[in-house]
Amino acid sequence: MKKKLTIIFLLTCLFLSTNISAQDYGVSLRASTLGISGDVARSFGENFNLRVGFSAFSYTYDGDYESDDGEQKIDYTMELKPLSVHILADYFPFKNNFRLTGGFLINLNKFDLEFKSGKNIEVSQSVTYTPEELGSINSDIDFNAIAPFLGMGFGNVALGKGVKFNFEVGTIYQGAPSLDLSASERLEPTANDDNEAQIEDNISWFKWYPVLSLGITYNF
Amino acid sequence: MKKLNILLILILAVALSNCDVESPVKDVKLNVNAEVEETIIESQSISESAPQPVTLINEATIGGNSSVKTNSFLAETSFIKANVGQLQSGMVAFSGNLTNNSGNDVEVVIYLATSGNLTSPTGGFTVDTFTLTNGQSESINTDDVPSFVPGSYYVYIFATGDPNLNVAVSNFAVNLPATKNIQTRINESDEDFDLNEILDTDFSGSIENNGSAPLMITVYLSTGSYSNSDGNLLASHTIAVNENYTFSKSTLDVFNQTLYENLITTYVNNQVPLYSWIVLSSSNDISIVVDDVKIKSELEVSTEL
Repeated sequence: MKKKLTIIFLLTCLFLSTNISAQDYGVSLRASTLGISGDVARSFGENFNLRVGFSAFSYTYDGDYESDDGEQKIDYTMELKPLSVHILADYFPFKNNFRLTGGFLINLNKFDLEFKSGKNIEVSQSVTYTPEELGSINSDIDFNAIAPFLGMGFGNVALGKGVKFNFEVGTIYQGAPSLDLSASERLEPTANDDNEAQIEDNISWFKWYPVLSLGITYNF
Repeated sequence: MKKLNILLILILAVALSNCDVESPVKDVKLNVNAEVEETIIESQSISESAPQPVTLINEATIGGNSSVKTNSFLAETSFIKANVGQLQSGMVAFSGNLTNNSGNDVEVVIYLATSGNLTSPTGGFTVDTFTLTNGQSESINTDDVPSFVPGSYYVYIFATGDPNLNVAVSNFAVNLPATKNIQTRINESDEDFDLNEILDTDFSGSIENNGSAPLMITVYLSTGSYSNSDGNLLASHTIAVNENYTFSKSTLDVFNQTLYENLITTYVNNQVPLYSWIVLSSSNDISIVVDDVKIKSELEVSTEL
């Protein structure tokens, strides 16, 4: 964490240290798959912008999954808390609003998954456990701390003043998720290597995190 | 800000719906820690008795006035009978002296039955059968009778042979075994019947036969005092001398699971208390103590779905 903050501090100093005119700056506010994003952008000539900002949000989803044979029903809650600091470079090949973007994110995304049995489980003729008696399983899911980003979009702080729209689409490579399962009560044996591998496989798509954003920029 | 939130959720929904997203818990197997729960049900020794001979017939003659005759054209079968009374378990044996004074060989059948109205060896079971040659006098000592349902019994001595039957019987006795009756009440409360729970009840334990004669263990199910003939024989096993026998419902010889389940279902439907009985019987004194017998209710549960 300390290392990440140091990087942010150094980049911010670099960003602010150059003596430039106010018209090269812009501030943006976006809604994106990374959450609510805000950043400060600065142009370096006609072809380049540099952006530094952050994104944060919290998203909870409740779902259930029933096995094909109907033996098991699992209720789960996914809590996605995207939190990241991004440092991005925009390249304007046509010197207009269209941009190609590259950079990286300091990825503080948190992804929690909690699940439990969605119905009573009968383990013998006379023993049946309710979901409450069975307990629940929690998983902490981690990704790479530094995640590269590639994308493209529209928006250039060097063009015009006032309020402008911006749009961006891209993807972050945050690496294969690393999972740590823990379980309580009678579901304790569920926190095993097989299930960890299965969940990691189920969410492996998550290593490429899609980014789609739409927002406004105020160009000074 | 509110509009921005709605927009954000819409964007997220669109983005996620375009991904090939599977449920994160797809094919996850729930493993349940279901330890075996064991309840020892209190059992108690209800009665205990030493082996004893009981004389049934002092002096009698088969073919004489004291016997009942059944006539046929070529041969004649006559018999005498005696009321043995209440028998609780196997390991009973019969002894006595027989002398054939008929002038011809005679077939003898010693027969045990619950009915006092038999005229031929049917409806019970044979204890012993042998041929008594003319003029022969023999001391008999039958093998132990196999296990049977407790109840009131009669013993018959059938003799078949020449029409002039004359077989003298003296000192005919039943040798009652030593018994130890151990009772366990299966359902703990008359008003708290759980069919499945009772079906899971097991009878288990271990017995070491330190006596000098084989020990028979018989298991009954009943709704009350087992000596009132409502006991239902579920299983039996003979434990050899010095054998340490470990038993349970699944290992007891010929445990009648179907009968057990039918009885339990009937009793539960009728809301009557349930007892299991273990009867130990031996032709010699039984040297084990009741604490050696553990009767428990064991819930068999799996550890994985």
